Amino acid sequence: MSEKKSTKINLGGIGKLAPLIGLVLVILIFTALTGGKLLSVTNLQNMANQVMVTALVAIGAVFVYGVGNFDMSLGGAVLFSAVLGAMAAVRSGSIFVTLVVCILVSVAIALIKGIFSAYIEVPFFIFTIVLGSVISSIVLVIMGSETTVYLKDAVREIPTFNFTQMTIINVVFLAVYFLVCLFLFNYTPIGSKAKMMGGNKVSAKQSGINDKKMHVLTFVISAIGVALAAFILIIRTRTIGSQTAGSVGTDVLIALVVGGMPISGGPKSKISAGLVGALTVVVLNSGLTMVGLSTAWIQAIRGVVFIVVVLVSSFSYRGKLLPR
Amino acid sequence: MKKKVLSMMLAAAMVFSMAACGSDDAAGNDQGGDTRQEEPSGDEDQAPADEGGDTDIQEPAGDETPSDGAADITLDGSWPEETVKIGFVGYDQASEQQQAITAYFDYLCENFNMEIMYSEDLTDAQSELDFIGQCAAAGCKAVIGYYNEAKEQSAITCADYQMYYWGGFGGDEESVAAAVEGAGEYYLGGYTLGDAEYEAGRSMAKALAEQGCEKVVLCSGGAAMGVPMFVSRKQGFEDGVKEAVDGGATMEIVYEVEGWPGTDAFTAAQTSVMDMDIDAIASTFDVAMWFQLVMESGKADSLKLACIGEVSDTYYDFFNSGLVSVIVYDNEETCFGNAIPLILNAVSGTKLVDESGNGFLFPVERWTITTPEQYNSVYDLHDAGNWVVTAEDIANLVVAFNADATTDTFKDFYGSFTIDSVK
Repeated sequence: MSEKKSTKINLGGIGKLAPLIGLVLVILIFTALTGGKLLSVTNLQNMANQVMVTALVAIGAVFVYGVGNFDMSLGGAVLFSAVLGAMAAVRSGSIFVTLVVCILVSVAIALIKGIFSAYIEVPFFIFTIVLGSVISSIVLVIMGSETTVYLKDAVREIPTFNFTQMTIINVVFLAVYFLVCLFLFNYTPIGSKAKMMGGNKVSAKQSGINDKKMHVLTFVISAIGVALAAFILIIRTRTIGSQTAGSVGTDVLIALVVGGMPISGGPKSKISAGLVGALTVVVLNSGLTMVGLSTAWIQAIRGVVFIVVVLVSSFSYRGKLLPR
Repeated sequence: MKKKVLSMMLAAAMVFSMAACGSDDAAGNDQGGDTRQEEPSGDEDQAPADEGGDTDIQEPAGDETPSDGAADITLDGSWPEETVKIGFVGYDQASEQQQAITAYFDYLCENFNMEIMYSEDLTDAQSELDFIGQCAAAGCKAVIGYYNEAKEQSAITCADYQMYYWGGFGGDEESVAAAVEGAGEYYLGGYTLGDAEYEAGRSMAKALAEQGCEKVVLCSGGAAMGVPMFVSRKQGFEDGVKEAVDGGATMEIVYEVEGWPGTDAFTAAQTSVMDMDIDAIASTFDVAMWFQLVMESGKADSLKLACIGEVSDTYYDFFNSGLVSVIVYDNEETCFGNAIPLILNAVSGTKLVDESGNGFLFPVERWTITTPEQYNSVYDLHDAGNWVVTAEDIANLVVAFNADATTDTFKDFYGSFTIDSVK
C-alpha cells in the first residue's frame, strides 16, 4: 500500500517538473547539436523577440484558463487590438496613443468575454470560437480595401527600434508583466480564487467567492497581455494585416500545455506555464532550424516532442480532473 | 509505472532517431555532384540584347571554362568555397509555383555551393521576421523574400543580422527606397512586373476574345475583399473586354464568382455557372477547381478556361486538350531565379548595384501562354530537367566567373525573356 503511494508521489513530482526539465533538456540537446550557437548572443536576442507575443498572451491566459474558461479568441483579440492600434498610430503618429488604443481595445474585448462568461449561460468555448471569427470579419470590414496597415504612412514618423533596442523593450515588457502576474496569481486572493473556481465552481461560489466579478477580472488581466503583445507586434513589424496573429491562439494553447498548465484550469494552474511553454516552443523551433532540418522534419519532431512533454506533464493531474 | 517509463524511453528514442535522420537528409544536398547540362543553354532568342557590349553574357553558356578575366572555377557545386546558406520566405509550400521554384533552386544547388532553407507556410509579418531571425541563427548569408508582408522591415531586419535581402516588394518603389535607406548595402533589390497584375487580366481577356469567346464568367478572387492584386487583375480583365468590344468583338462578362474555393458560396456559384450558357471561365488565380465540374457537366469541348497559373503537370493534359486555353505565367527562372546571381555576387564581394550604388528594381516580363506549342515548350524543357535560365547562364552573371558581368548585363539578361524565347 505504502509502496503504491510513493510511486504516485514520484510520478507527480516528475510531472510538476516535467515542463522545466523539458525546457532544460531541449536547451542542452540543441546547444550540443549546434556547437553552442543556440546560446549565442544574437540567437538569444532572436529568441527573445520570437517568444514575446506568445509568452505575453499565454501568461495572461493562465488567469482565464485557470478559472476554467477555454478561450479560443485570443488570436482574434490580438489582431483586433493590433489593427486598431496601428490605425491609431497612423492617424496620430504617436507611440503613446498606440499603446493606449491597444489597451482600451483589448480590455473592451475582455469585458465582452467576461460578461458573457459570467452572466450568459452559453458554452463559453463555442462562444470564443464564434467571437474569434466575428472579430476577423469586423477587421476585414474596418480595413476595407486597405488589407494592410503600414506605420510608414503615419502622419508623424513613428520611432524605429533596431534589433538590440527591440530586444530590450521585449525583455522589459515581458519581465514586468510576468512578475505582476506572478504576484497576482501566487500572492493575492485573485490567484487563489481563480484556482478554486477552476477546481470546483460550485464549491468556490459556496465559499463566498464572487464568481461573476472573478470572471471579468481574469479576462481584464489577460487583456493587458494581449494589448502588450499587440503593441509589440506593431512596433516590431510596423505592418499589421488581416492575417496578423493568426497562429497566436494555437501557439498559446500549445505553450500552456507544454508548460504544464491543465487546460481545465484549477489548482494545478501556474503562471510559469505560459513562459516555460513559450520558451520551450521557441528554443525547439530555433534549435531544429539551426541543425539544418527541413520544415517537414521540424514539424514532425516538434509534434513528437510536444506529445512527450504533454504526456509527462499530465502525470501530475491526469485522472484527477476531468476536462470540461 | 514500467509502461510509462517504457513509453517515455520509446518516445525519446523516436525523437532522437528522427533528428538524426533529418540531419543526414539535410546534409545530403551535396550528393548530386556535377550535374551540369551537356548542351549549350543559350540560343539567340534566349540571350539578352547586347546593349552594353562589355560582357560575354550573350554567348552560348555551355562552355565549361570560365570567361576571360575570371577565376578558374567550374560548376561542380564547389564554388563558393564556403556554403552559401539562403533563407526562403514562402507562404505555401504546396503551391505549384513554390514547388517549381524549389525544383529550380535544387538544380542550382547542385551547381553552386549553396543551401536553401525554406520557411514553413507564413501568413503574417511577425512570422516572417521570426523566420528571418532563424535564418540568421542558422548561418544564412541572404534571404529571398518570395512572400513579403513586412515589406522593407524584412530587409532592415536582415541588415540587422548582416544578411542580404532580395525582394522587390511587388514593385512598390516606396518600399524599395525605404529598404535602400534602412538596409543599405544589405538590400540587393528585386524584380518588378510593372503593371503586370492589371496587364495579366487584360491579356487574358484579349486572348479569350481572339479565341472567339463571347460569354465569359469571371472568377475575381479577392477583388471583392479589396485585395489590391485581384482588384487590378479584375480591372484589367474588364478593360480587356471593353477593348475587345470596341475592336468589333462580341464579348461580355455574364457572371462574376467572388472569393475562393472551399466556401459554400463559391461552390454554389460554381454549380450555377455550370447551368449557364457560356463560352469561357476566366480566373484571376488558379482554375483547377473547375476541371471536375466542367468534365462532369459534359462541357469540356465547348468551354475554355483561362487563368493566372503555372506550367505544371496539373495543366498539361487540360491545356493540350484545349480546355485550358490561356495561362498567364510567372516563369520561376526569370522571376525568382534572378535572386541567385545577385546573392552570389554579393556574398563574394562584388555586389551588383545601380548608378547610385544601391540595390535596384528591374523589370521582368510575365508570359501569356495561348497555344499548346508554347505551353509544351516550357513544360518539355522542365520535364527533361532543363531550364530557361541555366546554371551556366547564372555563372555568366557572377563576377567570380565572368569578370565582365555588370548590373546592365544582369538587367538586360533577365529583362529579355519572352515565351517565344523558349525553344
